[in-house]
Amino acid sequence: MILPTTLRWRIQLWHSLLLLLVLVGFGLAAFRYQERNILNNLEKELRTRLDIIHAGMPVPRPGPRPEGPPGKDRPPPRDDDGPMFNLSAERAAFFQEAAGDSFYYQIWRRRGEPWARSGTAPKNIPLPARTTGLGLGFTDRERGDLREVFWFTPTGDALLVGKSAKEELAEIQRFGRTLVLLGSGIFFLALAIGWWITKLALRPVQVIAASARRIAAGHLEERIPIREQRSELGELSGVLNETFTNLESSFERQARFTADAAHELRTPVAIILSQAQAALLRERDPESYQRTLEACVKAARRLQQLTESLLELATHDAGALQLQLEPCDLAKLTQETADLMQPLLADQGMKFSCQLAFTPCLADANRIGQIMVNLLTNALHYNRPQGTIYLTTRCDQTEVVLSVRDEGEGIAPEHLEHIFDRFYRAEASRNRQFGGAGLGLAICQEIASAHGGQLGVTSTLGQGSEFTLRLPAKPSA
Amino acid sequence: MRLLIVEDEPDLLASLAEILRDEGYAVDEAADGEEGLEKALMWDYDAVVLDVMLPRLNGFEVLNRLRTRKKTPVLMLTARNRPQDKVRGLDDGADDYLAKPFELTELLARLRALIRRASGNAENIVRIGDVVIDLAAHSVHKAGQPVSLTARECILLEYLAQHRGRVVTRTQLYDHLFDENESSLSNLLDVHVSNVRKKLGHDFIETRRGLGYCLK
Repeated sequence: MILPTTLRWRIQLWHSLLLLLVLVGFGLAAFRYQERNILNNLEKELRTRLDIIHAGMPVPRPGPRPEGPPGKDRPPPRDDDGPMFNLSAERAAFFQEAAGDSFYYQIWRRRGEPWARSGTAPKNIPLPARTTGLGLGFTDRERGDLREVFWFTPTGDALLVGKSAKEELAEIQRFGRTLVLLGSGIFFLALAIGWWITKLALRPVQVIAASARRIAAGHLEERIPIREQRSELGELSGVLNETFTNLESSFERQARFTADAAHELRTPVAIILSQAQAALLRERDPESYQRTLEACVKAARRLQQLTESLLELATHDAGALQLQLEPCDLAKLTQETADLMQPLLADQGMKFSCQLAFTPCLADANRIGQIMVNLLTNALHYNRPQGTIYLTTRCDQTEVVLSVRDEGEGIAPEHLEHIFDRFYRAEASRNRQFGGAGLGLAICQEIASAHGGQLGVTSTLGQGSEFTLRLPAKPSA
Repeated sequence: MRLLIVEDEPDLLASLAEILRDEGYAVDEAADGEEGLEKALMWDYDAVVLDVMLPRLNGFEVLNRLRTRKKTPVLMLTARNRPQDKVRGLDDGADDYLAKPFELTELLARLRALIRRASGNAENIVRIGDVVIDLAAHSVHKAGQPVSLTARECILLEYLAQHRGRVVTRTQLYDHLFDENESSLSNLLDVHVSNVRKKLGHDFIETRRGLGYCLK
């Protein structure tokens, strides 16, 4: 389920590498320190013992050095041999302390002939090289497991103390093993804890991924559960959720638009089909055929109007609307449209009341005329009988305003906010008789915004509605 | 058979009603949800054709309210043919669902099936003696020879055939054979019954005096 390419594995890998580096570094340092410590101790002890031996040596007698066979632990006193070397019992005890018989010493006379040695000394200890001359310093030497310290006395004798370092080396090894064991223990424990921590830390990511997968699979209503609002992932989830909400509503709008469009298109098709099929079922009189054809033409007209509206909306959506901007006077356009509609108004016993001030603007006269026809037709349909339609234009520095007010029933607030939505009809039955599909105001709004203006509406139930078209004023150049 | 059509498109309503009347059904019309519900509750229709997008009361609401009182077969007719709309309609108690634009023959076949199922018959062919009634083709044969019946006579016969062995009252027949515009209790029914008897034999439809008619 989890491949080595996952974040968790990568974190784990880096974590383990780093951990290994730190552990090895510390381990090596500790090992070195301990090793040095132990060996230094050994050296110190060797030197202490060297001092003991030196202090126990008889004071040399001046005169030529005799030569002779290498001395024993207690060499027999010989006159020309100088004083006999004899380590007192307490010194010997102190020399060995509790270390068993592991310490040894050997003494050579000036010319290199062995003079005295301890019983524990190994055979054939090579005479140290006289490198330091008659120096005062001790010199350390390493022979296999043996650690030795030697010193040349001012009289030229060579003094050597040694010890087998087997125990110390073994101790160092034990320490090393302990370090390795402990280190790997810590390593694996830390790995396990790290694995667990990354799992905890990455769980929100998995939750996000799972939610996103479900959303991708079509469950658009799904959201990422947010536990910690203020963590980084919580913030990310919040942003994603917002995006999903926008997506969902956009999908919904799209789906609703498609369904509405399909509905509006299918209904006239159904009328044409059923009318024609009914006519074909049996012989009918000419009037009946006439009625059928009229119904078919009416339905086809509706289809035509609808497809044109849809096409126009598609043009707006694609941003492909070509505006033929020219200087024009909103008041003049309004007056022309009002004159055109005057006969229709008179039929209903209504009248216009115009207050038209000169309102220069840069606009596509045909498109603005389209908005006006739409607004005036709506006002005509929804006005009360014998009512008045008030037309006003005014302008200021920045914008020109046309307002169309009727004295009808007004629009309920719940409809008002949707009035510019595509296919929205406040009341299906009432609008149906005017044959609208609910696209007119949506198209007007698109035209207005293509001009950089907007279409607004206010309405009071029982008193009427007022539609306001605002366009940018013509820049006074 | 008496049907109710609830449809807010006047042209569609008119043509549907005409087609169904041509088929011999008695057809009532309603132009919005409220009117439709009112009529559906008032009369025992054999089937209701119900549009979904209706003013005042949409098709789903009409169906919901109707189902609290009656089991009238309902065929939902709508331009919304998304699966979830169909599911909702059927779950709410619609008996069938047809998307606009529809094939006329399909609508007629579905209506026949609805009415047949509601009366408890599985087959379209009813045999009574040497008379064979084909409910789907609206044809009647006697001794292998086709009998010519008017649409109304045919529907009368089919209604009796679907309630075979049971007594059908005159009121029942009036309610199911005539629509709201012609339901005066005239002697129209007697004329149709006597016409059928002339064509299929006098004893084919029995008269139960004071009760109604019966087909054996």
